[in-house]
This record gives sequence, C-alpha cells and structure tokens, in this order.
Amino acid sequence: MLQALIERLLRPVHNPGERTGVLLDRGGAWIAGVAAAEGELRLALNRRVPFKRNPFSEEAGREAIVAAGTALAEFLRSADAGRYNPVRIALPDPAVNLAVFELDAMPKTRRERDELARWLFKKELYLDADNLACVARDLGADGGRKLLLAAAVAGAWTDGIGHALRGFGIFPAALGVSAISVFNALPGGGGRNGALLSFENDFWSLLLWDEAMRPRLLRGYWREQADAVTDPELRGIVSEAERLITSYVRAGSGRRIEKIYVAGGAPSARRFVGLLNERLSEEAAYVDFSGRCRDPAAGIPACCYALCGEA
Amino acid sequence: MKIEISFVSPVENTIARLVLGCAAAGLALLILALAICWSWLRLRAEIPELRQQASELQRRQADFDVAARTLKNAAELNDIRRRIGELNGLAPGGRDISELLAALENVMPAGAVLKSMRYSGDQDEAVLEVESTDAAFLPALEKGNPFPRLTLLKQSKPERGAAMLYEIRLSGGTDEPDV
Repeated sequence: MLQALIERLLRPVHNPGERTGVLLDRGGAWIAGVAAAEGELRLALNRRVPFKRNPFSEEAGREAIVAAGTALAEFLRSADAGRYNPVRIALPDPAVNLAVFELDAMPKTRRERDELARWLFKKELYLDADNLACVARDLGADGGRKLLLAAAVAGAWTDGIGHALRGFGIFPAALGVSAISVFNALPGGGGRNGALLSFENDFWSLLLWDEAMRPRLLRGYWREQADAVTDPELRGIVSEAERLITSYVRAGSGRRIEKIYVAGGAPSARRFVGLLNERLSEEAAYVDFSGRCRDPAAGIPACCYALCGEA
Repeated sequence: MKIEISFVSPVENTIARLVLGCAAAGLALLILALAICWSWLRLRAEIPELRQQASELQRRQADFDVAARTLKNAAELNDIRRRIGELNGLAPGGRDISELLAALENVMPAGAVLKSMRYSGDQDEAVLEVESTDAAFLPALEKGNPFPRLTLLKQSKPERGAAMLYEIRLSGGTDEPDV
C-alpha cells in the first residue's frame, strides 16, 4: 500500500494528463482512458472487461462484487492504469437511489448530512439503512426550504469493490453516479430547467434539474436486452421518460423543462433521439462526447468520456 | 453547477493531505536541524574554554591525588602524636626558649643589650648577661619576665666602653627578688 501511495505521488511525473473513466454495469466494466497530448485529447484506452456474474443482482453476494472488482483491478493493473493516473468509476444509475429532500434546516457538517440522508432513505423510501452507503450534498435553498441531495447504494458494493481495488494498489479518485458525471460534463453546464436522458447498452436513466441547475430527480432502469433495440422498446422508454417529465413538472409550481439532452454510447442512441423528438414538444439534442477526442471510437459510454473530463 | 458525489474519499484529497503532512514534517525536521546546527556551533565555540577548564581540573585532580597519597590517615596521626608525647616525656622539662626570648625582648628597654643567656630546664633557671649603661632596666625586667624570681648575681664594668655588664639569674620559686 505504501508503494502504491508513493507511486501515486509520483504520478504527475510519469503520466501527466492521463485519465481513466470506468462505467460499471451488469455484464462488465467499460474502461476508457484519455490522454492529453499536444493540446488535444487522445483515446489511449478502450476496453470492456466482462464480469462472470452479475454483481448488481439481488442474489449476488459479496463474492460476486469482489470478483467483479478484482476483474476490473486486474485489467487496470495490467494496463498500468490507475497507478500513475486518476481512475474515476461510475455506478450505473439503476443501482443508485438518488433523491432530493426538502428540509427546514440543513445539518452543518458533512457527516451529519450523510447520516440524515441515511435516516431519510429509511423513513421515506423504506431502504435498509444499516446496509447503505450514503452521501449527501447541500444544494442551497428553494422557496425557504433547504435542499439536500442524497445518494445511496448498497454498502456491500462500496466495500467489496473498494476492497478488491485496494488489493491491487488502486485507489479510485471517485466512485460516483453515471448520470451525475454526464451532467457535470454537459456543455455550458446544461443550462436551466433541463433533462438528461442517458442511453447506454445496459441501462437508461433520466435526470432532471431546475432553473438553478440543481438535480431534482433521477430515475434509472435496466434494459431488458443489451442494446437489442426494437422500436417498441424505444417507444416504451420514450413514454416512460415523458411520464416522468410530466410528473416532475406538475409536482411543483414554476417547474418546467426547457432543454433535453441525450447522451450515451449505445448504438441506438441517435435513433432514440429521433423518436423522442417525434413525441415531445421540446427538441432533444444528442451530446457526442467522443468528438472531444482526436481519434474517437464508437460505443464508449458517454459517462467514460465525462469521467475523463472530470479528472 | 457541478455536483460532486462519490462513495469513496477522493484520493487527490488524501494525497494532498499526505503531501501537506510530509511538508509539515519536513519543515519541522528542517527547524530541528537548524536548531541542532546552531547548538553545535555554540558548543564548538565553547570547546577551547572547556578544554582549558578540563586541563585545570585535571591538574587539580593530580594535586589532590598527591595530597591524598601524602595525607596520613587518622590512625597514623594518632600514632605520631603518641610517639611525640613519649619523646617529650623523655626530654628534660623546662620553658620554650623561643617564648622566653620573646618575653625578654618585650620587657627589655632600649639601651639594654642581652649578651648571652643560659637556660637550665631541670632547674627552670636562666642566667642572663645584660649590657646596659644604667640599672634602670632591672625594674622593668623584674616585672615583665616570666620567672617569679630575679637575682642580680654580678655587676661589672668591662675594660672598654661605658656600659656595665650585669649577670642576672631568673628562676622559679616564691622568694622575693634580690634586687
């Protein structure tokens, strides 16, 4: 571990500007590495590491999670990634519970906010608080109420994958949420009152934010078959997205959606945009993160590019 | 608005804290090293004086050792005192000649010259020959000498000079002086 820390301290000397983003899903991990060279970004790594067992199923125990983390860590180590450059990992949106709680008073410390979020998840969403990993952020005030953004994931996941990565001397810079990573990387910050539809091979999600560009709602869904897309499935996703947006807008006065972004590495993402534009009044825009690289490759999740940009 | 959500502590922050900790430790070590150097220089400047003090102490130590070697212990001193006492017991009794001469010196007036003195310890008697122009010294000698009795044995005039030569005996006893 000490050696790994020393190597990390020497990282800027060895690989300046190199970043790695990882998106996990039920079948494996998609790993993309981006390096800055001569003033532009270059795709240095593009690999999918399959998992033998689905670590996100309810039947999966700690062994499946550790096995998935070990497979990921072995590849990162063999590719010499994560030793001298930061690795940012995103969990798939369906595996994460994200909610915005309205409070009368905001806890002062980060620890208190995390603990309050855990209690609120148990009280309002009936989650098993004892086995949750929770993080919370202060989003400021809205109409006299304090907004607490809270995210929760099964504690076995953070423990298991962290244990596996540390065993290989890899310390991820972040273990976050896919849609939030893409949201952070949107051009111009996404603008006010927007929606982001992430359309990846294994899942899709909808993230909505308000006029202060504060995330207010996130819903993630596993897809039935990995990008075996048929128009009925896509239309079903469009209908669900429309229902969620309508529900959000009607839930509060002054709420509206002015801009819709679609991002994702699934081949059917662009076709999905077309169907979306047929159905919704607002025009959706496809955000192509791969265009930021000199030599883009198809199929890479938008989240991986976004994570590389965050580093 | 960037949203930072991570279920692990950012490694960058950990590294930053580590670097800051190392920097603080390095600074502390630097300060300590400077303090040690300053102390070393100060001690180095004191070396000549300390060496001089050390040599002085060594010399004193040597003197002390010599004194310690020559100093008799209490048993030896008692033995010496005993032997001196025995020798004194064997020697004839009497007064200390030095003390006697000092007493005569104090009572003899100017102009009176003690020419000779014979002292017998056994009889505690001293015979003096005093040369003086007159006999005025006799009362002072009678009062101030340590003997209780003074006897003028002989008074004569030498062939040369104007002074008279007096032969006086000083002795113990309670008789009145013969002056």
